[in-house]
Amino acid sequence: MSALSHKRLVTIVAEAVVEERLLRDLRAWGVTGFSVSRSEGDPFGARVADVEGAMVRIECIVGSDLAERVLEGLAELYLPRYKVIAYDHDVRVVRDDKYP
Amino acid sequence: MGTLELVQLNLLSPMVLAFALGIVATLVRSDLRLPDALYTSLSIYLLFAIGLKGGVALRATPLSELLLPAAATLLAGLLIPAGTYLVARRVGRWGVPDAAALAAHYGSVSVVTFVAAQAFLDRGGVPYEGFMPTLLALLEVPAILVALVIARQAKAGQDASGAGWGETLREVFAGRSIVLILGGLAIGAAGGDAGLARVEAFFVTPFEGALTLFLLEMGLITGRRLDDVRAAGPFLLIFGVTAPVVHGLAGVLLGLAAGLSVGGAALFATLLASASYIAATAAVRLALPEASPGRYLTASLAVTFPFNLVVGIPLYATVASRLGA
Repeated sequence: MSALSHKRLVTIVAEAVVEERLLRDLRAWGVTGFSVSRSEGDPFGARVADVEGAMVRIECIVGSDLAERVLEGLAELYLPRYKVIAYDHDVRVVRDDKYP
Repeated sequence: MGTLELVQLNLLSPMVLAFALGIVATLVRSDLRLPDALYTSLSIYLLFAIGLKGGVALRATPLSELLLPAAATLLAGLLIPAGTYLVARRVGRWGVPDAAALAAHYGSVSVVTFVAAQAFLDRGGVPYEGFMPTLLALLEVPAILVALVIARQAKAGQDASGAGWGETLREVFAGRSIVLILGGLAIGAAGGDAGLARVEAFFVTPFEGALTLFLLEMGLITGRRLDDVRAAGPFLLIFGVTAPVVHGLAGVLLGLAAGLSVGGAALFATLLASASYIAATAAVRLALPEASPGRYLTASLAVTFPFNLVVGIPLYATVASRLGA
């Protein structure tokens, strides 16, 4: 097995209405790949999901510098206003060079 | 038809009863839930179907006949959000974002309320102008823009984190309801009766059945919000009931003055009386994220929508028939 190396898995759970803008910003910050899945539930208490569709859960694996940049960007532009939560944690990946 | 008969006709319709069933289901904590994909599919179906039917009628309508009702629609699209904003600020003592969000929702329209009113008139055998969905499309957007302009004017130093105009405009004009209604209108107008005949078995005949299923889901959504109504305070409840009556009665007068038939005026009144919870909500979430959905969505979805469905629609139809006769 090839060597494992450490990266950060950034997870963002957001109300669906900001999805498009969020993905555009992630690309602008340097994220090159991500997966998006629909998410159930309404952890924010406002139940906007009733009429706007489900929330989205965006995951991307990036280096620690980029993870910092993404979380700082989210903290500045999204967290104060929109129903968004974000966190990252350590993961081990193969093919280290695939991730920014 | 007498008022009592009209009310009975409305209350005992499968649509209103399905809505009531949805509320009951949430009250008894049933596990009944429509899949998200079905809810979205049904809303696409309903929007596209009314566009198609409206387009066929639009093809047969001379432009001169449409001008006055269209002008009345745009006038209402300016006045209702301005009035709503002032009432929410002065009477409700709401802040700028909440008041502007409420203005966007009440100035814009609820397509389902409009469709329910059409079905109601159909059942009562009351004819109306076929181009009414065109007015629906016309009324959907201006109020949202007016409300957002008011909010930007009122807030010095707009926070940079709210979405910009470009994105908000795109959300408003490219939202699914506008694309489907305008697209449906264009396709219906291009194909005419012959075109509609080919898709009638899917888009016309099962329409009320689809609407009934959709209203079941609306009942579930409304039922889940009933606690919010209690928590939101008296202004929201009083406004949610008073605004549709005021807008609806003004709509009857304006509709008749613009030359609409009795049925057309009743539909026009319903348009003005209804409050959006799709197009306006998406735009407001983007452009005014600091406004509380617990207020504007609860008012439009949990108070005004059921009020119009049960009381408003027969009321506007009755007033229109009295005044228009």
